[in-house]
Amino acid sequence: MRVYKKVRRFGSLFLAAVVAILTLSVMVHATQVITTPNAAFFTYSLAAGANSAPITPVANQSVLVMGTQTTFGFRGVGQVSMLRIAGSFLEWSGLESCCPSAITSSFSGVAGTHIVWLDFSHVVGIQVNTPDTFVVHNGAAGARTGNVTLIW
Amino acid sequence: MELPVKNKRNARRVWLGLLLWAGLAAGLLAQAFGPHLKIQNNKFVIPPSLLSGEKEVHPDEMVTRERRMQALSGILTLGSGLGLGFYYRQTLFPKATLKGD
Repeated sequence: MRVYKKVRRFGSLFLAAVVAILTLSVMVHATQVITTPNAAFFTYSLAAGANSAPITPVANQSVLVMGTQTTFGFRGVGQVSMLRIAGSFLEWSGLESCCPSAITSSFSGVAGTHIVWLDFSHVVGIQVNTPDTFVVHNGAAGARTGNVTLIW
Repeated sequence: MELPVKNKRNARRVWLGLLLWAGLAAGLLAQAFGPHLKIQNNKFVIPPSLLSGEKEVHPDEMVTRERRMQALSGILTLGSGLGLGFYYRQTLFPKATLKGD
């Protein structure tokens, strides 16, 4: 009887420990997700002439769009602050990739309009896709890889 | 006259226990089957497969959905976990309960 009681107690404590560990791990993950700022990181790997999937930034507030190309020999970095007016246009202001770097600013809803270069050679960049979306376009002769970060 | 009242109380207690276990299971399921965006350098990493596809990517909606699922999962799991601790307090802390009584 005493052994049975001990086993039962051990079992209940073990179950309580399992529940506590599961609860804590869920809470840790939930806290991490909730406290992470509004920032999204995309990596791209595009064949020659290819476009990435269309990306929709948040509407009616400034979004920092910055991108880097990491392909050796063609590396670069560029950024723009972007505004999306839903169904109308994208508006942006920022700095092209080196070299030379220059201010880029305009607004458009027309597909193919250049927004910002991300590479050294100024052939890979972000361009307007629709009034609500933009794409990363690889205008180079070979495949290119890099990443784009959105902060809003 | 006392017996039905006691039965009612017991039935309510059993239902409460079941509800708490169901809450915990729901919280864990929400965690297991949530969108699960990876976090790296304090940023949500959008899976590369999404960017290579044709479908529009809405990062703000993805992040909002992830946050909502995690909050729901956290509330359900923590609430149920604490509730279960209280529900089984006599089993878990027999001496403390006796002292309290």
